[in-house]
Amino acid sequence: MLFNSGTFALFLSAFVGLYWLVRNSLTGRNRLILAASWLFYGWWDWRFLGLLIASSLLDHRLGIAVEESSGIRRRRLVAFSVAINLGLLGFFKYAGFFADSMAALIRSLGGTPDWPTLNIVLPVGISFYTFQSLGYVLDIDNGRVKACRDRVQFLAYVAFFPQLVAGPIERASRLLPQFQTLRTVDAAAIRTGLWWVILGLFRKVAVADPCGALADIAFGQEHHTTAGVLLGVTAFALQIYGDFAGYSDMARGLARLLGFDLMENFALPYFADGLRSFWRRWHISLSEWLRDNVYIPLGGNRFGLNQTLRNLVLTMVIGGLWHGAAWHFVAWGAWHGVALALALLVRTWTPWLPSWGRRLGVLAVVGFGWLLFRAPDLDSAWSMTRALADGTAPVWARSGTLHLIWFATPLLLLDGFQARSGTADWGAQLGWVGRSLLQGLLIYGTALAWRQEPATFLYFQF
Amino acid sequence: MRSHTYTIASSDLGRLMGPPFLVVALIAGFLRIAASLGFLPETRSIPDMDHVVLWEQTRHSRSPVSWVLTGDSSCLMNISGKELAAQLGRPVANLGTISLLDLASYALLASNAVVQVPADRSVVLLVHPDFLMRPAADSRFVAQLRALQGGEAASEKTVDGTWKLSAFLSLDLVRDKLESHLRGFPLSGAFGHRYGFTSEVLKSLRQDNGLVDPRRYRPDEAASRPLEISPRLEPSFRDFRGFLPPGTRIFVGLTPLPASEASPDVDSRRNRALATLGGWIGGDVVLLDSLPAVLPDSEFATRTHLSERGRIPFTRRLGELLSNSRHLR
Repeated sequence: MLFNSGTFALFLSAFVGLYWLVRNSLTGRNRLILAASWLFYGWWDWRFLGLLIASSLLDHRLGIAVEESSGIRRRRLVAFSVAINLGLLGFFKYAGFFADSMAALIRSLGGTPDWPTLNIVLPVGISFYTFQSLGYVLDIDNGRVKACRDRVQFLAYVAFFPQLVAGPIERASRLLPQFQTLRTVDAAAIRTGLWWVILGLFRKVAVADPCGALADIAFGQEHHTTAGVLLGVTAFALQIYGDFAGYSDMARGLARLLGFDLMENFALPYFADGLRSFWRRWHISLSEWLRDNVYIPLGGNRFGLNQTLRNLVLTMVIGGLWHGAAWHFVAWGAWHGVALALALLVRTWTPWLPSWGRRLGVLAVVGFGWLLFRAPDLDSAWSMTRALADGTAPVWARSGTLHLIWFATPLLLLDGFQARSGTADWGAQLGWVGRSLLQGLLIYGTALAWRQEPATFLYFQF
Repeated sequence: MRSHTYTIASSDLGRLMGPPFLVVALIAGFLRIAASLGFLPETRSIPDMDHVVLWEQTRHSRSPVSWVLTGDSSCLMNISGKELAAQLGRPVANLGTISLLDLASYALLASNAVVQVPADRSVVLLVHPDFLMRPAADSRFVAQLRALQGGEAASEKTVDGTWKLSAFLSLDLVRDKLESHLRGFPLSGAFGHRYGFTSEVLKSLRQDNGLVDPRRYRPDEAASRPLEISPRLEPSFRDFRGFLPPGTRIFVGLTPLPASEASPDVDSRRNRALATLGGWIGGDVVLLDSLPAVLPDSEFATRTHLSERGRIPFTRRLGELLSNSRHLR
């Protein structure tokens, strides 16, 4: 069930009606959220609903057990939770990848692997809810949060439908208490929630999907050209941003309409003037999760420069692998890790660069990263990289450029206004005339770009 | 325990949600008025492959040409009009379409072009054997062509089931009268990889007077059927001549099948089919029975379309046949 579909509109309408009916009962509302979230998830594939329920129930139980134990038993319980969560993720997401990679290695050494190809269906959103659920146990172990004794509250926290399948990966310390206390919904919350839903839908339907069509053309070429690759990478950069930031906006907006406050997951990442700054603005919830649960446990920056550089690269490689079980995702993570390490090494002279120079440098590094990310495999990435030097253009270069300008301009204007205002809900804070005009234009633009068959969100596959 | 405190009244909700939708309605109304007063540019409905070809062929059919090719997508994809014109030494218009139309539509497209020349009117009808066996044309595209011939913008109305909402919001006006003048629309799949955008299809159609199908042929034995004619086609073939101006010479041919999907007796079946079609059309129709009925799989893009490699030799073969016909000698 996609946010940008008629089915979801029906689901949401029914949900809001029922939500209103049980407004006087906290337990009733949490139960309703849980039931609706499971329906929402089961709509994709009901077989995987059991997986979501089982892993959340296990982490709920383990969370209490971890809190009540100490010493070696506590460490074992935490290790058990890590093993189960990562084991599930590993099986569904990485088993096929590692089996295929091992088979390729054996073949390259002259051997003949004798196991069949694994075709395992990836449960939607598994990377997100596994990290959220696992993060809860780790946070209890680190004393950041108390174990939740109410099973329904915890299950609703893991399965909360606005952010279940593509984040933000909410920390228990932030979201869980919101299922335990009185929630206030006022005109300001509705205004902000509506703004984020409208903005998110526009970013997805009127920016990401059309830019994705250009990226598909560019990345699908048999013979790549310089202009084609540049257009394709730019289009994909806008697609993935519009798609994921749009999803996060909608998740945040829907949650706000229900009285919840989700974290900001994107903060104008393409306006960053350094690579570290980019990662503090892009998929913030994952960056924070990796920082707290991978980078810092590895030693962070506490053991000298060499260790810090190694930890940076390792963390980013794991981040790349989190995105997908393929070598080009690993290469994308490694590229960012190495770039972050280099940025750390040369930080003494980068401040001397003008701000626009640093921004351009970030865009170049991130752009090449998107080439690795979007290319179907490393061979294609290599042939596209080589094409960057040949100075040629495809027959559709002019149309592609026009297409990009047509769909990127509104996004840049919106982000420009956000940068000037300094707040993500700037559109909700305008006077009613300006707000109505802006929201009306965004709704009209969304309707204009709307397709009968809604395009899925890119991050659902991760 | 209460779960929520609401400090908002339903009237507040109306005030928050109403004005943006009022803005949408105002934009739609403004556009509708502007269109009715003739302030918007002419209709140019090109959101996808089907529409861009229908639109361009309708436009092309308004130019006077004495030699016209018409037919299904195998006519458009298998023949380079430019190459054929060079070979025949006279202007040729390939008015084949991608969409599944009926015979009357193909005849009308051809008729519009040849009626404007005083003499030497020739129409070459080329269809794939599958055309003779399929049940019916796609009525949405037939209606679309009629609408285009009548100067309407009917892309949404005839092809998209959501046309009511689209028309209510004037989205059709924005797409057909504004956006399509400013930019091309991206294509998906193999056509997207080859042409990129509808504007490039348009350009290619104008330059080559035909299109290249960039797909790669994969034999499908399940699709293989012996060549037959659906008897339901008889009335439309009998009416075909009636749509054309008097004195128009008619040539009829069938485009080839891939060798792996052709039955062993395909040549005789093809000739019998052509003879039947000739009988139905009547008069001194010229049957192009020397065109190859079968070509190697390697020259195909799909079961019905030749590849870039296969279309030029086939065009030349057609050119030779037409050049050798008594009408050109």
